[in-house]
Order: sequence, then C-alpha cells, then structure tokens
Amino acid sequence: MIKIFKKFFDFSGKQKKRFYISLIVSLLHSVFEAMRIMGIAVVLQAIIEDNMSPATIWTSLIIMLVSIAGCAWTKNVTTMQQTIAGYTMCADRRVEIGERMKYMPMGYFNNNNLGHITSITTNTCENLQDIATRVILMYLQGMLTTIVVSVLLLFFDVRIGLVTIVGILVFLLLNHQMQKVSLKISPKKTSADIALVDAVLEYVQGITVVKSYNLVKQANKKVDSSIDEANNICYTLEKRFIPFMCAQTVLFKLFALLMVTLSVVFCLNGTMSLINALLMIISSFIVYGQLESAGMYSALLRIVDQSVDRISEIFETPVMDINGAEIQLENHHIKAEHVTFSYEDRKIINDVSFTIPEKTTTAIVGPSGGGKTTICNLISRFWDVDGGSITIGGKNVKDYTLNSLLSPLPVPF
Amino acid sequence: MSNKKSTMDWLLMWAKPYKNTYILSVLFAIVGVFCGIAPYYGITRIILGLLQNNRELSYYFLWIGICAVLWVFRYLFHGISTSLSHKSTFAVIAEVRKQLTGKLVRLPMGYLMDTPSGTIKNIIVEKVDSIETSLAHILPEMTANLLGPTCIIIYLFVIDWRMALISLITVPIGFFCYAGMMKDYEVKFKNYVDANKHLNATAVEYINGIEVIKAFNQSAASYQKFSDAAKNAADSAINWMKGTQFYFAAAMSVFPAVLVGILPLGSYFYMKDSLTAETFILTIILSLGIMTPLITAMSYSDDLGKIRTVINDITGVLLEEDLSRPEIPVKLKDYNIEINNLSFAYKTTQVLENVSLSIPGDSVTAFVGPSGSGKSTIAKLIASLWEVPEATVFIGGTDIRRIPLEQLNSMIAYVSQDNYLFNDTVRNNIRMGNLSATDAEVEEAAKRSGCHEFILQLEKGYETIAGGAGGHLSGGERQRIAIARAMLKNAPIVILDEATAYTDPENEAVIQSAVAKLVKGKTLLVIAHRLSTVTDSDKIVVVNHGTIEAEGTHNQLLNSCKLYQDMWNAHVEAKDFGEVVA
Repeated sequence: MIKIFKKFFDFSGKQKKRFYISLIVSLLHSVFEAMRIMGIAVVLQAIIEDNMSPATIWTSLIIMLVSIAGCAWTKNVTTMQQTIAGYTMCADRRVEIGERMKYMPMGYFNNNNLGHITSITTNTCENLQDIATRVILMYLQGMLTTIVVSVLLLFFDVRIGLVTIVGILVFLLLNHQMQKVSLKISPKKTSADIALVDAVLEYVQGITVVKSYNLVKQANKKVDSSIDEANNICYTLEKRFIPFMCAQTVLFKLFALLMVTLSVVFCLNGTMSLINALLMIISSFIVYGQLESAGMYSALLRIVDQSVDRISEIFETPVMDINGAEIQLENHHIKAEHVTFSYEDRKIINDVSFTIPEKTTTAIVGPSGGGKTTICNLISRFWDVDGGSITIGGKNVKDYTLNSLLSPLPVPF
Repeated sequence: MSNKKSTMDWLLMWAKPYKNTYILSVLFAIVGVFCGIAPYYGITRIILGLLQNNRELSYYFLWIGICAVLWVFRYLFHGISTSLSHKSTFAVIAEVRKQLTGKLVRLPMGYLMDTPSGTIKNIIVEKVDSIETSLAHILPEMTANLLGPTCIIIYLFVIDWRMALISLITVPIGFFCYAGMMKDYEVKFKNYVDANKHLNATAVEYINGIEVIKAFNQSAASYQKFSDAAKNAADSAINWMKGTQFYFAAAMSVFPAVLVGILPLGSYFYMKDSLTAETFILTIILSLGIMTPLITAMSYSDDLGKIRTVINDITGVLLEEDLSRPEIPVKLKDYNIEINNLSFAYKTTQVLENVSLSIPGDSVTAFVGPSGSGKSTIAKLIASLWEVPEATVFIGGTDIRRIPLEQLNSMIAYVSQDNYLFNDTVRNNIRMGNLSATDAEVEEAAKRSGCHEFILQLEKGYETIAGGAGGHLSGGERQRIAIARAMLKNAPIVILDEATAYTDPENEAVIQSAVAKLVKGKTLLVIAHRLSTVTDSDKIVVVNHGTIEAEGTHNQLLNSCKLYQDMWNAHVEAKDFGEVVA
C-alpha cells in the first residue's frame, strides 16, 4: 500500500505541496471533530458529580459551535486544496502527454494505439482528477487521524492506547493481504478490459463491412462474448474483495468493543476513574471512524493505482532522439546512403542509396507496396532508418530537432 | 415519438430483470442497518450500569456479547447485500452493452460513419461502466444509510419527542447551506461540462491529427490549443468548486452535528429534572449513530448528479431511429435499378435534388462529376446506407424500403475507399465474401484482384494477420484485398465507390480486367475520379451540384456535355504531364 501512495505522490509532481497541506489541515479537522467528545465529557462529568448548571449548558454549546465552525473551515480548505491539486495535476499530465507526442516516431502510430492514447488523455485522466485525490487523502487522513488519536489515548490510559494501536496494526495486516490478492487478480481484469476495448473497437469499426457481407450474427456473437467475459471477471474480482472489506470493518468494531470491555473492567477494579471509563467508551466509537470510511474506498484505491500506471505507461513509449539542434541549412541536398528499413519483420527498404539535389523535382514511381511512401517518410523522420543514413545539407537527419527538420519539408499525403 | 424517460426510469428499466435480486439486496442492507443500531442501545446500558455502580461483570459481558454478535451480523448482511447488488449490476451492465451492440446493427450505416468509433466505444465501455456506482452502491447503500438514521430518529420520538425534535435542528440549517451550493449550479456545471467536452475534442484532434500536425509544423499551434483547453478545463472545475465548496463543507459539518442541540438543551432539561440520565445518555449515544451513515449517504449525492449526463449519452444511441425494413424476403423481377425524383439532404445540406435515373441490369454505369457533386451519395443510397424517401429508389421494380436489409446486402457488393480489414488472416478476410469458399477459391479471387503476388511475399503469406494491429499493408494492398473480398461474394450488383483510388496504374489495369470478367451478367456501378477508367462504360452519368447534368456514352458526352468535355480535357492534360505517383 505504501507503494501506491509513493507512486501517487511522485505522479503529482508540483502539486505535492498541496497534498501535504491538505493532510495537515485534515489533522486539524480531526481535532475539531474530536471536540465533540469534550462536549460529551463536560456533560457526563456534570451528571456524575450531580452539578448540572447553566455553565454546563453554555460550555457544551460553545464547544459544539466551535467544533462545527472548525470542521466547516478545515473541510473547506482541504477540499479546495484537493480539488485544485487533482485537477491541475491531471491537466499538467495531459499537457505533458501532448508534449511527448511531438517526439514519438510517427511510425509508432496506428489507428488503435492512437485511440488508446486518446482514451487515456481523456477518460483515464478525467476519472483520476475526480476520485484520485479524494481516495488517496481519505486513506492517508484516516491513517494519520487514527494514529494521532491513539497516541492521545496512550497518554490518557496506556492500556487502552495500546489496544487501539494493536487494532491499527491488525488492520494494516489485513489490508496488506487484500492488496496481495489484488495484485494477483488485477492483471486478469486489466487484460479483460483491454480485450473488451479491442473487441468493441473492431466491432464498431468493422460494422459497415460486417453488415454488407451479412456477417452480423457472427460479429455480434464475438463482441457479446467479450462483454460476458468482462462481466464475469468483474464479478469474480468483487467477490474476492467483499470478505476482506467486511472483515476490516468487523475488526474495527470488535477492537472498539475490546476497548469498552477493558474500560469496564478497569473501572470496576478501580484502576480507572468513572469519567475516564465513560470517555473511553464513547471514544471507542470515534477512534476508528475515519479509518473505517477509508477502508470502504479500497476498491477505488486500486482503480487510482491502475489509472496512474496507465498514464505513466505513455511516458515509456519510444521517442526519437530529441537531442537535436536547431540547424540552419546551407543547402538542401538530400542524400541517402545504404538505407535499410523494416516494419517489424517485413523488410521494406533494402540497401537503397540516392542523391536528390536541391531545387529539383524528383518523381518516385513503382508498383504498389514497393516502398515509395516509406522512403519519403524516412527522409522526414516519420521513422528512423534501421541501417545506413539520410542526410540533408550534409547533416544527418537524426541531428536535427524535429521542428527545424520539418519546416522545409511539407509532406503531402 | 418515443416518450421522454427520465434517468431513473431508464435505470429502473435496466434493473428490472434483476428486480428480485435488488430487492433482496436492499432487504439485507436494511436488516444490516438495524443490526448496527441495536448495539447503541447495548452501549447505553453499559454506561448506565457504570453510572449506577452495577458491579455484576456478567451484566456487562452479556451486553458486550450482544453488541459483538450484532456487529458481526451487521457486516455479514452488508457483505451479502453488496455481493447481490454487484452481481446484478454487472449483469445489467453486460445487458446494456449488448443492447448497444445490437442497436448499432439496426441503425443506418450513415450514423456509424458520422460518429467516430472512439466515441461509440467510449459509450459502450466506459460510460456504461459508470452505471455501476449508482446501481451497485447507491441503490442498496444509500437506502440503508438513509433508513438507519431515520429509524433512530423515530426511536427517539418514541423515547422522548423533545429530544427527537432537538436532534432534527441541524436539518433545516444543513439544507440552507446545501441550497447555497445549488445557487448558480446549472451555469457552473454547464461551464464545466463544456470545458471538458472542448478539452476532449482538442485532445482527439491533436492526437489523431499528429501526423498532419507534425508534417505541417503546426505542432506549436495545435499543441497550444490543446494545452490551453486542458488548463481551461481544470480552471472551470476549480472555479466551480470555489463557489460552491464552502456551502458544501458547511452542510457536511452541520448536518451530522446533532449534538449541538442535544448537549445544551438536554442538559437544560436534565437540570429541570424533566429528563432522566438514562434517556439523556441514550440520546447522546444514538446521535453518534446518526452521523456516519448520513455522511456516507451524502457522499453519493455528487455521483448522482453525474449519472444523468452519462445515461443521456447511452440513451442517445439507443433512441436513434432504426432503419426500418421488413423481415420477409421479396421476390424481385430483375436487377434493374430505377431512381425516381430522389432528393436527399444530409444534416442541413441539400445533397441531391430531384434525381431521376434508370440503370439497367447487366450493364456498366459510371458516375462522374466534380468533388462534392453527389455522385457518391447516389451509390450510398442505393446500398441503403441512409434512409431514402418513399418510392424513390427501386430495384427490380420494388421500393428498396420494402426489401429486407439482409436480402439487399446479399445482392449488393459495395466497395469504397475505406477498406477495413479485420484482425484475422488475409485468407479469412477475403473469405468474408463467401464463408463457404474453399482456399482455392479464395486464392483465385486474390489472383483476379491482383493481390495474390504480394500476399505470397508477406511474412506468413495468406496466414498473415491483416487488420488494425498488424499488417502494415499499403493503401493499395488493402484495397485489392477488399476488392477480392467483394469479388468472392459474387453479388448481382457491384458498386465500386472510388474503389481504385489508391491503386497504381499497373494494378488498376489488373483490377479493371478482373472486374470486367466478373461483371458479365451483373449490374456494375462505378464512381470514378479518373475518367480514363470509365470510358468503356455502357452509360456515363455526369453529376453536378446534386443533379444529373447529362448521361450517355463517352463519345456522346464529348459531343454534347460541356462539363464532361472540360473534365476530360483536364484529365488528358494531366496524363500528358505524367502522373506523379507518390
């Protein structure tokens, strides 16, 4: 789980600071929320000591009002920070993807992986900006708050404090197990998702052909079975996690009950004052509250993790040598020397050499599939040659920045 | 006209086949919630025991035990409820997706050609996915999380109506804050949606157009447009939040803070002896149980707003008009095509105006004309890609609206410039023309279309995978495979819509002669831009500005039609220069 958080914070780039601010303010939020207990304590004290007075009334009212005001203010700050951070982070990522695409070899693209990149730049980023910050912060806030409250309880009563901390540790253990299961199953879901997208795309793109050849039934069957496959995997995954989620929450409640039991026992055998015992019992309701809510978002945590991965993948696509220079050309003579090039296994250009002097018109002719377009593409660096070299004005095309290379070379399609 | 259904209506309609499972899920959730409330009573008893100095350990352990059991049941039932609701929701999602894929088949192909495949895929995959939140989570959980506090409040009324009322103090104040959030909501939300749509559009334009952008050195400009849109979309969301967030935070803080009334006022009543310690403490404890469920319920309200947009997109496709055709095949006299006063508008443009034409069977008819004249549209309408008005297009004497689509599709082999090949072997792609063709027949069709040689040169010959992911076949190669596919179909009417656009002169000749042999006894329609390829046609139809300017043989037209003369002269001059083929 720590890996996911680290990954996310790295991903957030310049927005890291906002997340840290949000975490700290949310600690304050927990403090304001915990003031409720103070209010209850004041009242309980008055009941025990039988000295209920107008002072009690006003005190409890003021405490609650301060609590509400503080909660509203801190919640506002954290949500604003989270929103700004989340949306800005995703906007920045999108722009970076756009930047990177300038340097991707054109040959890398075909219709489908362009569609994939589009999907990530639009949908994945959209999902992420919405839920990512909420989920990550809920988790972290939950952890932080619970730890802080437990530490406070330690000061109140070491024994109860220890129990609380053990509870947190057991939760982490359980969560770790859940993440392990997730790691095992998630790849299946990812590949089912990809298979579904591929199947749907092929269906939609090919439907005109499918219809005109009356092959609708077969095509429909194929895509529908991908749909069913995705459905089954989703449900299987969900089923595996539900027991964990239930166990998590039951765990918290049982530990809370443990706190209650111990408080009762200690109170009865005199090692804890009545007021403290009552406060412990009431705190037991609240101490794990935040972590409980966080636990419910476990499913979303996985989605956030996957989304971050998918976006980061784009930054691992091949780029062309981007360390070129802005070069002023003295002349525009094009020279190809022993150029070879293959698309995957298929050799298209095999030891080709030619010279095209500047300010001349050259026609490249030949049967279809011969490599005419490919040669033009290699000159304008839509791909890089596998062997040999192409020079313009005496300089290897690989030494140019793409911009300075392309400005004298409009390429018709 | 279909009646306007609301988002709720659609969701319920889709959930209907699984109604029982959902009801069961909600029931389990409700029982679970009740199991979660009872322990509060138990805790109160424990506290009171301490206050009253009850020293019986067994008393405490009894109540603790009851609480433990109840908590376990609460989450057991919650788990079952979630499991059930997810099972049905995933099934519903699959069902909606299948409805969409089925619908695509019934829609006029024109719709599919107009809508980017990425958009349709996004609706089928991602948008349908987002139904999961509402159906699987909101339906059972929101119901339970609203029911719980409601029951607690009713219980409070039973115990002490004053305390119950006091616990409701925060509700109106909370709503007041919530209302403050709603102010300007419509406008700001619309801004947000528009900004995001614009962002997605520029992203698609930038990414899909990257080849052209780079080649024409527009990287800087187009990239700027895209990055501006990205920042703008982020800003629109942030501005929306800025306006509304305070109210939301206030509402979220006020609603659950029921103690603000209970503590002071309860103390007051206690002081005046009109409230017992027991009731007071019970009220305090119970109020702790109101907060969490309410907040959980409220956190879903955000998602509910978004669902409506998503459902609209999905239902937008489902509500499109089908191409209406009968089911039962009809007997046709022959394969003569008659067009009678056909006018056709595409969106707001009038493409064809009063076209009347007679295309006899067993002949070759060519359509020529300037770009945008409407010649391709005539062919598309004969192939029923879009709906035609009644009694305008006839095949074999029958209105094509009366011919079942399947029958029409088997009669017409339509080849256009857009040659989609599937992620399957070259052989299977060609075999799509006739599933029962033998390997030899497939290769024969390939030979006749001039693709046999280059196929043999591929890595795995006929077993090479063509299609999106692989192949790297050139435009001309794909075209010839598509033509082989069409030839294998052996349909009585063949439409070649600029189908040889990418072929070079050598292969064009091959295809020409193949097509010539193929169409003996068939009706061939050719839409061509290279006039020299159609000079031998039985009839040439000159289309201009959506009407038929002239028809006749090549020689007749050279003598009688000025437009044809001009086009022919221009074409011949270009040929003299020597066509530059890239």
